[in-house]
Amino acid sequence: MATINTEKTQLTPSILLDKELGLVEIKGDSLPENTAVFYKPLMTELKDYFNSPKDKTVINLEITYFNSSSSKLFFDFFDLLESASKKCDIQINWIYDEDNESMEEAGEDFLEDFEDLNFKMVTK
Amino acid sequence: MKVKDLEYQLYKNDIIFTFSGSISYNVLSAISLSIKDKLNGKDGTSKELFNVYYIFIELIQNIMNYSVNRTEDSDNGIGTCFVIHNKDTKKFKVCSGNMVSSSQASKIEEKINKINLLDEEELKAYYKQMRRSGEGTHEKGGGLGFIEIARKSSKNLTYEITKIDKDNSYFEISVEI
Repeated sequence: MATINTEKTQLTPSILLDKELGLVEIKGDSLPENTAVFYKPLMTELKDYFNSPKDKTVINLEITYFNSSSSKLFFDFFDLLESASKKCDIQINWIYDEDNESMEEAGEDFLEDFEDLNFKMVTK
Repeated sequence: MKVKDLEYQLYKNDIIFTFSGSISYNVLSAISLSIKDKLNGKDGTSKELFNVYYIFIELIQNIMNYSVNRTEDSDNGIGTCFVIHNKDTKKFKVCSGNMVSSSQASKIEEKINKINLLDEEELKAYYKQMRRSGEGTHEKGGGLGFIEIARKSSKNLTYEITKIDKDNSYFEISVEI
């Protein structure tokens, strides 16, 4: 059973964290009322997961829009993944619609900032 | 003031979407849906339309976080935000205005003046530096809003700060896409 399984709303993405499968998925628009509060459960559980991670962890990010405060949060999210990737295998898929140039550029911005991560740009 | 006259002014000035008043998260949610609707099918590349939406929402959130004329019974921000779609040039412009404290006004002024000196590459570097350092991060956001707005705009940010009284100023900004 997933540790976190939050449904998507109009302004917040769906969030899935399955520690058994070693899977994290964030999908949708990210414009929470309070970004830090909204992502706190995920960040806390993810830190906990990396105390004893699976051999391979897959992170699927299919974000269609995110505001500037989410941008900072995602940076901290990748920062956490980068530290953890020193001791386990993490595959990040940045999934975006071919027509969504803005999300392609946003993915490239993160890719440049985290050169040590296994960060793949995936069009759908 | 007649409604008919106001409506004519909106039409004459190519204002295709406007909101004025107190903004709660529920209102933001409704605005987000309606502006998406309004932009859907408008002339422009999908990137242009995305940027109009992005900038509008960031400006609305600035009003929510920084305006000072809050109503007595709620902590919602009060302000005005609108989108212009020029009939001839087909260019978009997003404008907003709200009251801020004079100390906040000085901070905004300093920030925008700094941003306006940077070219595209420098803006990107500055954005990344601020995102990495967490400098400017506060409880309501990452302090990245104006930098990202500038990155999504085609020209310098135009703003005006008008002193209202000893403690307050009116801040307005206009962003061309």
